[in-house]
Formats: sequence, C-alpha cells, structure tokens
Amino acid sequence: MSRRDKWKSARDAMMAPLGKTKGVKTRESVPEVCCGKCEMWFENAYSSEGRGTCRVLKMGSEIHSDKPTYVLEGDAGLISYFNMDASHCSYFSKMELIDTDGTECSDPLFRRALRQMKKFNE
Amino acid sequence: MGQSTARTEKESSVEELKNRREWWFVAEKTRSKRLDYLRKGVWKKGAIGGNYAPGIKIDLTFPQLFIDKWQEHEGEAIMLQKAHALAHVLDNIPIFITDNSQIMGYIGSAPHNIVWHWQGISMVNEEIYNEEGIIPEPEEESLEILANLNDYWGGRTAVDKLARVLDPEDAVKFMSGAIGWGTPTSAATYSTKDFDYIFKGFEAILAEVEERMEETEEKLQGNPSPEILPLYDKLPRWEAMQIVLEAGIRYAERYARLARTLAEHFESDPERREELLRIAETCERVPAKPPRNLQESLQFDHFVQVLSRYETFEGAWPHRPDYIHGPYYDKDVNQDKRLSKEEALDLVGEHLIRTHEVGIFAPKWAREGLQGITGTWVWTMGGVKPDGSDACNDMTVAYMQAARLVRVSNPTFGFRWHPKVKDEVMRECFECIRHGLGYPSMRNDPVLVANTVHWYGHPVEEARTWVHQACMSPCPTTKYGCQPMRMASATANCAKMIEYALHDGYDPVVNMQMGPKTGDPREFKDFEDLFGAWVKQMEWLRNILVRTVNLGRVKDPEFFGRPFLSAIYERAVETGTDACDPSNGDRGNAWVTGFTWVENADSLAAIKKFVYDEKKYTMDEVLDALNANWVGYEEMRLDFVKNAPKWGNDDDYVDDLMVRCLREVSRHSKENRCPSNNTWPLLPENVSGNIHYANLVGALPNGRRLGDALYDGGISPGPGLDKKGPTAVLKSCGKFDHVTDGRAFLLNQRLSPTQLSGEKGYQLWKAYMKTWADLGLDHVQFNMVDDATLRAAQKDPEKYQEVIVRVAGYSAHFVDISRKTQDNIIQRTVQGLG
Amino acid sequence: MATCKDCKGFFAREDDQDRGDCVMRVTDPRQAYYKAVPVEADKDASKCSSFRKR
Repeated sequence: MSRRDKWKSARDAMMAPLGKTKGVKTRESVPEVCCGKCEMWFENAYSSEGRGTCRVLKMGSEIHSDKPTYVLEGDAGLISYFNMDASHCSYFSKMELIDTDGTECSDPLFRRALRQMKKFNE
Repeated sequence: MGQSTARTEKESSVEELKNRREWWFVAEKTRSKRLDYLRKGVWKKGAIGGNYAPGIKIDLTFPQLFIDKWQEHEGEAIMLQKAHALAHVLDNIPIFITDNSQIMGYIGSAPHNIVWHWQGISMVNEEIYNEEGIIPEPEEESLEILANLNDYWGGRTAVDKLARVLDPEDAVKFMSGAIGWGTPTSAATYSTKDFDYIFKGFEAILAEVEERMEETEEKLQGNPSPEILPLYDKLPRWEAMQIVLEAGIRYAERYARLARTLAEHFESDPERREELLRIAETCERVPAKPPRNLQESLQFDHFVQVLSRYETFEGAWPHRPDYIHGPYYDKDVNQDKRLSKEEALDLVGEHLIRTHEVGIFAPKWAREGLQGITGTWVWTMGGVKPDGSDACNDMTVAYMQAARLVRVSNPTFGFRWHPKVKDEVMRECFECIRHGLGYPSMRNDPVLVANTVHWYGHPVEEARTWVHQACMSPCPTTKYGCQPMRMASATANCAKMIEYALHDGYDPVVNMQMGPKTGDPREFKDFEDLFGAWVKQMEWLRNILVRTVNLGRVKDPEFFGRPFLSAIYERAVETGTDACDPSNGDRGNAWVTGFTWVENADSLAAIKKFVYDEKKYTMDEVLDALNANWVGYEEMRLDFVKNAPKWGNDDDYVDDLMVRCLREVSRHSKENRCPSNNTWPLLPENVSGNIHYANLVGALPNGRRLGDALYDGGISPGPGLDKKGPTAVLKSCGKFDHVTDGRAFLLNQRLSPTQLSGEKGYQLWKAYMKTWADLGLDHVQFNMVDDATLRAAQKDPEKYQEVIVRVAGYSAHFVDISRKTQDNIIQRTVQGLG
Repeated sequence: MATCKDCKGFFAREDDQDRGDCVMRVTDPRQAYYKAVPVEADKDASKCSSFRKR
C-alpha cells in the first residue's frame, strides 16, 4: 500500500461522518457500551464534537462485528467516535468520568461534557 | 482579607477602597450611571473554564436566514452566493437597542445569544449540536433545526473541502490535535483593516466598484483576447461587494428607524429622546458617508466590526482606535466643545462594552485555550505616526481611563512604547497595570518597527502604522500591508519538538508516528546528535503546519468567500478579487505562533548537563522515567526540576541553548515561504494553551509530568523557576536579537502591588521599563494582583467578578478561568523591583 | 384575522407601507431593551403572543 493510500484510509475515517444525513435520531443514540466511556479512548484535541483515537488499536481494526479484527501495529491509531458501539471490543475498559461538567479542563483522563453523555452521569 | 473587605465595600469611601487597592469596587463607585448599567447588563460570552455561562444560547435565527438565501442562489460564484445570504441576514435579523446605550450593532438576534458560521467547519457544527447548555428552548425543536443544518453543511464546509485537497497524511496529523491548533480557513480568522480607506464611506466605495465594473464591461465588449478572460470572474465579485455594502447601509438604517420610532412613540424622558434622535441621525449617516464627529466615528467603526463578524468568526480584533478616533475626539471635545470629557468618556467606555459583549461560539479547544474570552481582542494604543512622530493623543488617555472604569477583560490594550512617549501617558499605562487589569502590555515600538521591516520588507512608513494582528504580531494597516486572513492553524505545540526528538518521532499520547524517525536517543553519541534530532523534528512540525495553512489561504476564495471584507479592502476593490486572494498584492505578514516553547530549552539543558556533561544519569534512565511519567522516579524528577539549569536566571548554560534553538528556527523561518513568497518567523506565546495542552504533552526532562500545566508561555520562565530576580529575567531575554531571531516574544511578569503603590512605585516601574527598553526586549506584561486577593476570589467568586488577571496574550476575569489556570497564575514568581 | 398592521407594536416603513417593524420591549435577567423584527403588514398575527390590538 502506498503512503498516500495508507493515510487516505485514516483521513476517510476522520471525515467519514460528514456528508451523511443523520437527523436527530442517529445523533442522539449513545450505546451503553461506547468508545466515549472507554479508558483506552483518547478524545481528539483538534475537534471537540466527540471524535477520538484508540490508545491500543491501530487503523484497520474493526470492532463492530461479532468477530472483531484487531490491528496492533501501524502508524495511526484507530479513529472512532464517543458514541460508537464498543460492546464487541475486547479491549474496552470502562473508565470513571471525572470531568462530568466540563468546567475544569485538561486532566489526563478527561471527557468533554457532551450533552448526550449526560444520561450516564445521572 | 477578602471576605471582610468585600462585606464593607458598600459603606467604604472611594479613598478607603483605593487605599485597600480594591480597584473593582472603586470602578463601580466612580463610573457614570450609564456605564454602570451597560457594564452590568453585559452577558458573559467567554467560557468559564471550558463551559459557557448559564443563559448563553446559540443563535438559530442567523443560520436559518443565511441558508434560506444560500440555497436559493446555489450554483452562483461563492462570493456572490454568500453576499445574497448575508444581505438577507442583515435585512431580517432582529435588532435591539439597550436602555442607555448610544452605540448600535450586535452579532445575533438577542443580547444573550452567540453566533456561529455554519459554512466553516462541520466538526464545530456537530459540536454545537452535542454541546450541553446552549441549545435554545424548546430543545427538541432546536435540535431538529440543528440536525437539518448540519446534515446540509456536512461535507460542504470550507474545512471539509480543504481536507479533501490536503495530503491525507498531513490532514490526519494536523487534525490529530497534538501538534497545533486552528482552522486553515478564513471561517475562523482575523483581518487587519485600513480605516483610512473605509472611512471614505460605503457610498464612495460603491461608486468606485461601479466605475470598475463599467470599465470591465466595456473591455468585455471589445476585442476577444486571453487578457479579457479573467475579467468574467471579476464581475460577480464586484457585484457581491455591492450587495453587501448596500446591505450594510440598510442594516444601519434599521437602527436609525428603530431609534426614531422609540423617540417618537415610546420614550418619555426628554434627555433620552434627544439621545435616540442623535442615534438615528448617526445611523443614517454612517457607514454610508464619512463620519463627522466622535459618535459617528465610533459607530462607523463598530458597524464595520459587526458586519465583518456576520461574515466570519473574526477571533481577534486588530485595531488602533486611539489613532483612528483621536481627531474626532479632539474636534468634539477640544475644538468645538460639542462634548464634555465626561460625555466622551461615556462613549469610549461604551465602545469597550459593545466590543466586550460580542459572542461567537468557540469550539472547546479554543475555549480551553482562551479561557474567559471570546477572542484575543488586543487593541493597539500609542506608537508613532508614519513620519515617526509621537501618535499618542487624548483618545489614548481616554481609553486607558475608560478601561479602569468598565474593567472588561476583552478588548485589552497593547501599548506601543517609544522614547518620545510623554510621562502623563506612561502614568496612564501604569495606572491600568496598577489597577490589576493586566493591560496594556508594553511593546517596544522601535524594535517592532525594525522587526516588521526585517521579516517582510514593509516600507518603514507603513511598518509604523502597525497594529496587533492578534495578541502579539504587528501588522501594517496599509493597502498592501493589511493581512486579510491570519490562519490560526500555524500555531505550533512546540513542546512536541523535544518530545518527538526523545521518542523517534512517535507520539505516545495520540498513538501515532508523527514526526520523522530521528533515531533511538539511547544510540545518540553526544548532545549534538540529540540537538540534530530536535532540529529535524522542529522543521517537520513547522513544515506541516505551514503547508496546511498556505493551502488553506490560497483555497479560501474558492471554499469560503469574503464579500464584505473584499468590499472594504482597497486592493480587492481595485482588482475585483477576494480579499484573501494572495495574488492581489498582499505583501505577506505570516508567522508561526509558538506555544509551549521554553520547555525545549529547559529540557535540552537538563539532558545536556545530567546525561552528557556530568553523566549523572544515562539516557536509558531518563527515557524510562519519562515513559513512566516520572512515576517511581520522584527523587530523580525533583533533581531535574531543582538542579538542572532553568531559563530566566541569567545562566549562560541554558540561555545559550535557547539562543541556539531560536537561531535554528530563524534560519528555517526564511526557508518556509507564504503564498506571497514571504517568510514565516516564530512568535513564542501561549494564550492559555499551556493548560489546553497539559494532557497532550507527555512527560518532559524539565521534570514536568503528563497533565501538569506547561509554562505560561512565550519566553516567560517556568512559574517559580526564575529565582534570581527581575533583572536576571530581563538579561536572559536580552541575550538574543528581538528583531532578527523571531517575530515577537511574550514575557509575563508578576509584580507586587504593595511595593508599587504611590509615586515611588511608579518610579520603580519606570526604571524597570528603562532596563527593559535598553536591553531591546519587544514585549512585557504584568500581573499586579496579590495572592491573597486571588485566593479570596477562588473561595468566593461571586464577590470578585471584576478581578482581572493577565493570562498570556490576553486578560480574563479571574473567576472565568479554570482552577488549574488560576493556580498556574498564583504560582508565578512575584518579582520585587529595585 | 388579526394581522401585524392591526397591532400596536407595528410601525410601517415610510418607503413601503406593506412592510414594517414589530417593536417589542424585552427585559431579560441582565438588561432591558427594545427589539425590532421586520414583518409584512398583512402577516397573520392571530397566534402571536405579543399581539396588542391597535
């Protein structure tokens, strides 16, 4: 795979949700087990709408099917979103949400206070 | 101290409050009733830590009006399509006149609303949808509107389009958030404005546009040739300029109409009725025609700023209001006696408040990096005229006095100091600093004029017109000197340079191979190998940012479009181009903002001393400690914190390394070229990026752990690490050339309010400023609020709403910044002078 | 049917009597102000909660 193609798949994963009609329903849906609640998931600092990177899995991994594929070597981490289903991922490790209101910022293990995550704080 | 004095402030006299240096209560007691009402009426638009204040809502009227016309004109040239959409917004957005106000114009349909430009960045559009607290009621209905807007704009925004054009590796690494921040589009940017041109009035510009169009149409009817082909694209751009200029005039007329309606049908107080009629007359006059008096010039100015922000998120406010409005103040107050000083002060104070109240949605990273404010609105004061003579005037003094009365955190001032500044003006600057505003920052005008000529070749007369383009960087306000689009994405998280040099280019925080593979540091023979790796990582980091931003700049006219900015840019009007098109004569004034810079010198010095010179630790041990985030290595960590040389103590060991790093960057700055083929110098400064990046920069050899706040930025020493006094700090900072070694260098200093009280305090400060100037430093800014007050404000924020601190390139109300940032400011060394 | 032009808050434009401003007094938690929204004179106002018969 050429350098360009390799990074193109990462770029596409980053831009994939754009240009798709999602409506309210898709945007409001947050599974009980999701990347946003996993301590292996690191929220992206460039954008704050809930995109992030996995600290363990690399690009090429696929965690949505019953038989997930895990890629552990590579240049780029797996890009995923806070509300992505992680129930099939064996690397999922639930974390405590310590920055639940978002007033304090930039702790090493923090989560931005996305509105849809509020239900997990109650 | 805090609680007991706060309880008694109501019964205390102004003198008692002054003696206790409770300047926020002094302001409340001494400002006019009008200013007090307007100041307290402002909705807080800057985020508190990372969140918006309760009651702040995103404006949904604006994007809905915009998209109505945008879709109707789909397929037209982007600038024309946008002009139609903007005109529709300006004709229909609800407007309002606040009681007691005299200056009109607001971005959004209600005072508690903040706006956003849906055409810019899909990620931010989605963030707004996901954001807690800002969705207007009824929430369900608003979410439906937002979802529809986002579904439409997804893939169509400027940044979405740019991401498809960028090299995919650059796109992913740039958007990883680890190495820099910002958006390479003029959807989130800031522009210098030439008010000599703008104050001709929109009608005069419209006449100029009309003339250009007629000339062009005539050519298009003539002999067919390759030369006439580009002219076809110019006509829709000029038409777009016409549409927005006419809409701008109509927008002002709407205020005139409302003011007259209120005067005739609602207002019973004759004095206020008179004011409303004056407002009507003012808004009928400007921006259509040139201003004739102070109220008209301030109003014209504010309309231009508001209209610019309807077009895009202008996150800074490059401006020189004392220079622009000074002649009108002089005419009204000194010559015609049309206004008393107090009446003028009311207008000037309101000008600050009207600016302070502007609110534009900022994504979370920007809110964390600019806590407490909407943008870095640093207004430039003082300085010299194009012929080099002193430009300070009565308006300079009026702004300083008004600032102490209204105590807004935004805008702040940067004062262009030069040897001819009169003592009375210096005293005004000092009073603002003594009152704890944290501004004006002091800028060395001769150094910065020379710097502006050195890096970009601006003629010296033009360089002398400079304003702060954002927090720090000077930019001329002339036809070819104005910068239409400062791309905030050329902002480097510089601590990554040393982090990547120590990790073979790998970023353990974002799990990505970021920089080039420069080798395992365990295999480095000597310090030169490490330094060589650092240079390669520095070059890579700057290259990727500059490449991205250059592309964003040249693509902006195609992906975003700026009809209004173009209509007020002489060179764009003249050539029928988008203001952001670099081919229209833009001389170039680009720079890379360097966040988290000093960590490099301190980290390199620690390794040089302990690993290579003294051989106290092996590189293996250092890397093990860093990979463990210093956990289990506390004794070693403290050795690195306390005993390794630190920048800011006049210690040549580390200072020489700092100079060496700067010279490497300076060399590379000339190799990087902007679209106008000009240079990209480094400008170390931080805003509150030291907090934003705290969880993104791994452990460093200066003893810092992942999650710890980084240094407060620029060339400021690490908090509490400058132990040799203020002169040692100045001497360290004076070891490199502030003209040729970079664009500008931010220096934070904390001074003791007790020591600097009274006349003696002023004289001490003035002597300090002389040393600063003699050493050729370009910048210094001060915090002068004591620890006791800051700690009291942490305990009881409600009582200390107007206490201001200097964060970095901007000031913020102390209660609006996160606890971590508050603690970081308290930790800074309080320097004793004399 | 009540229309905007029948309301006390409607002020027709001098240059176009078919259009005008709906002017309302608003007091929010921090400040009081007058607000103007452009409207058509014949717009249906039967469901407008701010309608005040002229």
